[in-house]
Amino acid sequence: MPIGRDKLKHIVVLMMENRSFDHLLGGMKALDPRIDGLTGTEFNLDSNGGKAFAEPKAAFQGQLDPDPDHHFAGVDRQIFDGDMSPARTATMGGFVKSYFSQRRDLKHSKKIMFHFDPVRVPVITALATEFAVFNGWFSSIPGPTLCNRAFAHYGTSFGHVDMNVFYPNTVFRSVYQRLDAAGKTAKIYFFDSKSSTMEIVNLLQHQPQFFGSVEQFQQDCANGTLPDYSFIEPNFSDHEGPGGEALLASDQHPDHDIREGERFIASIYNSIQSNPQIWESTALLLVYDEHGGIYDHVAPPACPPDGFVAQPTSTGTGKPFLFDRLGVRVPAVLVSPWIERRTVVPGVSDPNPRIFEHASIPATVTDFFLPPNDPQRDQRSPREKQAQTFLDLITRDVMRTDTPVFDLG
Amino acid sequence: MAKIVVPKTPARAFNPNRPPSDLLRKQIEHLEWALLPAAQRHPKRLRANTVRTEGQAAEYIALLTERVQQAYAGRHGARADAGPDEYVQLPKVPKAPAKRKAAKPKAVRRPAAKRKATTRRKAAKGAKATGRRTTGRGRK
Repeated sequence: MPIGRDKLKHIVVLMMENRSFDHLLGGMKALDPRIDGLTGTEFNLDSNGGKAFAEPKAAFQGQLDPDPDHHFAGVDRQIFDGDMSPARTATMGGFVKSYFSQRRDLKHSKKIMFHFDPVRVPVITALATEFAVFNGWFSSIPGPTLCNRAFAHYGTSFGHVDMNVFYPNTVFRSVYQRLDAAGKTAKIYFFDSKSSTMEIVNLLQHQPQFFGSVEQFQQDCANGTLPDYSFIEPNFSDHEGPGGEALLASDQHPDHDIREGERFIASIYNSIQSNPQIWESTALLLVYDEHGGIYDHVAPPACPPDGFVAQPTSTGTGKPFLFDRLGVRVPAVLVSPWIERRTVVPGVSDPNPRIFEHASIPATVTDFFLPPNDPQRDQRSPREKQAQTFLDLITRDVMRTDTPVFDLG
Repeated sequence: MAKIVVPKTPARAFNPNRPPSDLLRKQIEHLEWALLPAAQRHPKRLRANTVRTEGQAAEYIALLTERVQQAYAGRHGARADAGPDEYVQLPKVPKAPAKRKAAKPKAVRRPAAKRKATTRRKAAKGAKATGRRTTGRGRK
């Protein structure tokens, strides 16, 4: 085992909101051809049959209003371009038409194809360059936020493809409960009480010891008291702080400003890096919950069924969903000073592809912290048991000293 | 060790008056769900749809979060708490912060001399029809 993995004591996951891989990282293909991004030839047909190309014209804010559709039926249309036949194939050709249906504005609908020039998103570009970027990390479900986030916490959404995930009488335990039962520590850090936690209110209701604020995360990093596993939630809304100061949403959910999310990511990175003991013993995963209706050119692959079935009334497509296909690809970067610079994890278009999804998060955490015979391992969903883990990307025996620092001004 | 300067987000990006997203509405619904006993979870009682702005949603989410935490403390002996049959009152949705209106420019009356000839003719015609006298200002 490499020394880097021997040193590892903490895993931190920061899950952002609603941006596709191509939207944030697609422009990096020009910098590194191994990154499965955009060549400039990718297009969708618009509602008049004209070509709408993927272009580096994404704006920080104000461009994706209304919020692009990312409910199950909408995403199904984006992936399959409205084809409902049994032998359909994923073309990724329905994004522009899907967005057109929301505002009936042809010019506006093409903005769903826009992505960022890497220089405009310096934080995620630097992290993807300096550490390990995943060519094949997909959202767990072709659907909205909450069912996808459920996979990060539970390794399943218990049959939900929508926002109604309430977890009564769950058959599998959350990764936090599993760690707790095994004598390990875990915490969910939300931004503040006005942003609160997204979705897992059942844990807030019954096990509030799992929760803390981002301010506490920063203190835990500084004091060397970080738990074994940390899950960080960004600020989900523009609101006033305790002193009346403006606190901008940092989740990057459209139409929140991308730059504030970049600053938040950088602040989490800096908190970890500023304590040498925490920096050498922590792996930080930056990942997005789903694509938010924004274009990506890679067709989501099939996956092992989840054991649950979503009924046609829930999917909105008139067909059931067997959880046998992943959602649209999202940005994901693994950060550690023990990872080789410019590591690109191969995806579906590469030789020896490795497919990751959000069930890979509890799978990795459980695999790393719990001994092989721990009974808590039985609390994993079928999807989680088969999910790829990612700590093998930590390969170095010598810690890097050339990693970047972010100046937040 | 490379130092990467991260630009500041401009203050104008802050907009607590934008309508709340589906996500924030669902977050509210989930917190309300956690607060209410099972028998009291009627859709009519939920208030997510009455929230009009993101800032208002944030204030309400803070109240709900506090109540969920208090309810936990109550169940664990920190204070007397509602039993399963007791009616639970959801916190009142805070008022949306007043929108800041841009100051209206002061109305400035243009000097009559600069009015167009057509405007002068129309004004004179209108005055004739209503029997009102025109001032004759601006006329030679």
